[in-house]
Amino acid sequence: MTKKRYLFPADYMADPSVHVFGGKIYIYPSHDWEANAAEDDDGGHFQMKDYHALSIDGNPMDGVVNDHGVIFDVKDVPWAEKQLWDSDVVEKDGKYYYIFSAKGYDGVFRLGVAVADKPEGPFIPQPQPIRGSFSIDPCVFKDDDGSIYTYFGGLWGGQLQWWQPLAPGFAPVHGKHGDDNGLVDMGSEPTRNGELFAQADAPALPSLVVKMSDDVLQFAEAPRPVLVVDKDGNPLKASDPHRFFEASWMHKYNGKYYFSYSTGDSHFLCYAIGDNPYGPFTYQGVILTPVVGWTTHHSIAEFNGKWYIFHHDSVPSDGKTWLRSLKVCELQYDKDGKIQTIEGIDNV
Amino acid sequence: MKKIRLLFALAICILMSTCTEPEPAVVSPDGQLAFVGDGTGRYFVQYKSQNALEINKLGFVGSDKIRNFKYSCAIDDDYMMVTGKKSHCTSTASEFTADLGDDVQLILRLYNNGIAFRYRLQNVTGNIPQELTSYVIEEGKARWMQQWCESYEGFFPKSTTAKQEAVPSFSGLNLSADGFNCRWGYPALVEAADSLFVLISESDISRTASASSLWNDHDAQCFEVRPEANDAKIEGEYLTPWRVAVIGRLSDIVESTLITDLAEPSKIDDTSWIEPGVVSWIYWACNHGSNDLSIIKKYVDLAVALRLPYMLIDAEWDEMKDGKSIEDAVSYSRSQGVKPLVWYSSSVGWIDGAPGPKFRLNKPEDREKEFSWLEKIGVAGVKIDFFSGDNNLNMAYCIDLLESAAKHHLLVNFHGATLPRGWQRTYPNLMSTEAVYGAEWYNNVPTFTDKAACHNATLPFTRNVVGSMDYTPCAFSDSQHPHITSNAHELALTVLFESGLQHLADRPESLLSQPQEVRDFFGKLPAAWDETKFVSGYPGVSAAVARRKGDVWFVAGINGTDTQNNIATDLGFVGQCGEITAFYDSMDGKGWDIRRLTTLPRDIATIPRGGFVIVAKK
Repeated sequence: MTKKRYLFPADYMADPSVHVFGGKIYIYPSHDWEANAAEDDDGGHFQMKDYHALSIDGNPMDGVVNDHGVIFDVKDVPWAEKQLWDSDVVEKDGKYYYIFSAKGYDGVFRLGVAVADKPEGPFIPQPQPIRGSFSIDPCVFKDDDGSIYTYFGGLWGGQLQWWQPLAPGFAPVHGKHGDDNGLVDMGSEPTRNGELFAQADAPALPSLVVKMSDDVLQFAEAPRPVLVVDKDGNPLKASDPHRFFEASWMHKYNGKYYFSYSTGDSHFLCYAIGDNPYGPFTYQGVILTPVVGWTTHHSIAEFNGKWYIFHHDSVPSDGKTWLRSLKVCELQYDKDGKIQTIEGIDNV
Repeated sequence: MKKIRLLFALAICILMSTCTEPEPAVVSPDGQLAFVGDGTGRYFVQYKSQNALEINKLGFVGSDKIRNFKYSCAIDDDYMMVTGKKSHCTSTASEFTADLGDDVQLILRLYNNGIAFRYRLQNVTGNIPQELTSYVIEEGKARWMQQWCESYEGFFPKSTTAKQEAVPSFSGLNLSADGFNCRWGYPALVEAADSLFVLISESDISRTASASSLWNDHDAQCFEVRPEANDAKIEGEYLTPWRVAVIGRLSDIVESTLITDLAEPSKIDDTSWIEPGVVSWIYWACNHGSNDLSIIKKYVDLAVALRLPYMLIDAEWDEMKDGKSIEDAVSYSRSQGVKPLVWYSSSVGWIDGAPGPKFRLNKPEDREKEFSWLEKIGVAGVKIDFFSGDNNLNMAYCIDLLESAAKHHLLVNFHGATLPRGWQRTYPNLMSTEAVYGAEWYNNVPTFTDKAACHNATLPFTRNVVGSMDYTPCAFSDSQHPHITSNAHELALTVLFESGLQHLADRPESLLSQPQEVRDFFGKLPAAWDETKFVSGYPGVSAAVARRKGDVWFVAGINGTDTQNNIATDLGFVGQCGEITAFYDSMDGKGWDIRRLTTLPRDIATIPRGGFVIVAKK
C-alpha cells in the first residue's frame, strides 16, 4: 500500500493545487468549513469563503507544513457572492497569478484572478471576473515555452452544462449570459444536472482549455474543448464512468502532456496523454480509486526528482463530504510513462 | 361619512359572524363591489351585480376550504405620495378574514374600485407551500395581456382568446401542451362585460417574498398565480403579497391608486429632498455617449436650455474617454445647475458582454462606499439596470438598494427590472421603473415602428396604472429605426405616461429646433401629479388623460390607430381657465399647429397616430 500523509490536520481543506516556487512547495487549497448549508446536487453545501496558502519546508512526506493564513476573502472580490471553489496559481515574471472559481450574485460561476508579488500572497483580486469565463475548477499550466493555459470546467453544480456552443442559425443573445465566444448559457433548465448529456451514446461534455493573455488577466482566445478519446480516437461517452466531470489538472512528463481529472459521480481520478496542451488526449486509466467522501480532486507535482499526488478525502471528518482533509503520497510511473493506480481507501 | 361607514361595517359584522361562505353582503364601502361564493369553492367579484371576476381557487395545497369567514375591520387610509398620478391618496375598504386551514388565513379587502387578498401563513419552516389562487378569464372575453418576460418589456395585444402564439423572448418560452404561451406578466387587463374592466396585478413585495405571474398551462381559461423562486429562509409567519384586481369603468382603472394603497407606508421620514423632474438623456441618440465628456456636456447644456432639473449619465461612464472621469462630468453638470444621475449595472442579470460599471453595488460594504461617494461628489440619483426577474434574490436586492440609496439621498430608477408593485409608496426615492416596451426599442429592432401608436394607447390602461413607468418618451427625430407617430403624439406621451423621472428620448439638435412653445413646455412639465383624470379612450385605440399639478391642467391624448380619429375631451372638471395653450399636429402631419385658446375644446380631431396636448392654467 502506498504511504500517505495527512498534510494539515489543523483545518479542513481540499482541492490542493501544488507548485514549486523558489525550490519550495506551495499548496493552494479550497478552505472547507461547517456552514450548515443543505446538501444538494449543485454543491450548495460547499460554501467556502476564503483561501489560505500553505507551504512545506522540504519533502512533502515529512516536511513541516506552514499556513500563511488567509490570502483573500470573498469580501475582497466585488463580483463574487459565495462559494470560493477550486483555484490554482501560476508564476510569470516574478508575479503570482491566482486563478479561482466563485459564484457571482447572478448565480453564475465564473473565474477570477488575484495578483501577488510573493507566492504566499497577499493576493489582490481583480474587480471583475475574467471576460468570457464560466464554470469552475481552473488549473493554470505554464508550458516550457512560457505560454500559459487555463483548463477549467465542472458538471452539475459547476454549471459547465449551462454553456454550450450555439446551435447553427442562432445569433448570440443580447442580455442573457451570451458571451463573445460563441457560447451561450442554456439557462437553468432543462440542462441542469447534466440531464441533457445523460444520453448514453452522446459524447461526454468536455472540459475546456484556453490560452491566457500576456498579462495573465484575460483569456487570449475562445476556450477550446479538451477531447479525451479512447484508443481508437473516439471521444469517451457520457455514460463512461471514466469521462470528465471536474478537477482538471495538467502536468508534463517526459515531454508528454498529462491531462488528469475527476470523474465526479463515479469518483475516480483518471488521466489521458497528449502531444500538445490542446489535445486530444488519449485515455490511459485510473490514477486514484474512490476515496471516502463524494468529491475527489488532486494535483500532481515533482519535487527533488520524485513525483507526488496531492489530494483529499473525508476520513478525518467521519465522511462529511463538505469537510475534507489534504493528503499526499508518491506517484509512480512505469517505464512507458504509465501512472500506477493508487488505492483511494487505505487499510483495505 | 365616517360614522355611516362604521354603522355599515357593524351591520356586515353581525351578518357575517356565523357564515362559513361569503354572501352578497360582503361588499365594498360604497356597496358597488361584492364578493360572492357559489358554495362549490368558486368565488365571484361583482360590480353593480354584474360578474366582473371569477376566482375559482383560493388557498394552498391542503388549505383551500374557507371556514370562519368574518368581517374584520374598515380600512381607512390617507397618505401622501411624492411621485405618481396623485399626491394625496385616500382609500376605504371593508376587510374580511377567513381560515383556509389550521395555519393559513385569508385576508380579503373590498375597495370601491377593486379587491385585494393575501394569505397569512403560520408555522412556515423554510419552504412556502404551493399557492392555488386562480382567476378565470373566459374564452371570448377581450383581454390585453403581456407574455411574461424577466424585464416586462412586451406588448399587450388585444385578444379574445388565451391561445396566443409565443413571441421570441430573452427569458425563454413557456408553452402549454398545445403550444401556446402559458405565462403572463402583470398587469392583465380584461373587459369582463361591456364597459366593465378588470386589471389583475400584485402589491406589497416584502424582503422575503418573490413576485408572481399568471400561468394557464393547465386550463387555458384558468390563470394560476405562481410566485417565482424564493430562497428566503422563512421561519414562522409569512404574509404573501396582495393579489389585486382593480375593477370598474376605464376611469376607475386609469385613476386607480390601489397598488400603492395596499403597499407598506413610507419607511423614509424626511422626503423633502426627493424631487421628481424631467431629465435629458444621452443613451437614445448616442448609445455610447456616456463615456464622452463632450457629449455629456451637450446634454447638460440641453437641460439648461430647456430648464430641466436633471440629466442622466448612462452606461459606460466608468470608461470615460480622453482621460476624463465621471467626477469631471458631475462637476460640469453641477456647475450648470443641472442635477446629474448616473447608471449602474445591478450585476445580477446580464453580465458577460454587458456595459459597466459592474459589481459595485452587490456587497453591502461596496454599495455603502459607492453611494457615499456619489453623495459626496453631488450625484442626485442612480439608474440601476439589468436585473434578473421576479425571484426573491432580486426583490431583497432592490429593497437593499432603495434603503442604501435613501440613506445617501439618492433617487432610484430601476431599469431592466420587474414590474412595480407598490414600493414607490414604501420607498419614495423610487422614482420610476422601466418594465415597459419603451422608446429605446427604436434602437434595437424594427418591430416598434408599426406597433408604437397602438401600444402607446394601451399603456395608460395597463402598465402605467400600477406605477411610474420609465418609457423614455418623446422623439421628434429618429434613432436607428424610424418612428411614425406624430409630433403631438410624441409630446403627449410626456403627460400621458407618468414617471417620477421623465427621461426625454430625443437628441439636443431636434429638441432645440422645436418651436419656442414646445421648448418652453418641457421646462414647465411636472413629473409627478396632484390629480389624474381619465378623459376618454379605449385600449389600443385612443387614450386621453388630464393631469393636474397645482393650478395647471395638462391634458394629453393620442390616436393609436392608422386612421383619423376624433378624441372626446369633456373637460368640465377643469372649470374656468385663464390661459390655454393647445399643441396640435398640423393636418398634413408634417409640423405643429400651436394655438392659444379661450375655451377648452369638446373634442379634438387627430391625424393617424397623432395626438394633442392642452395646457390649461386656472
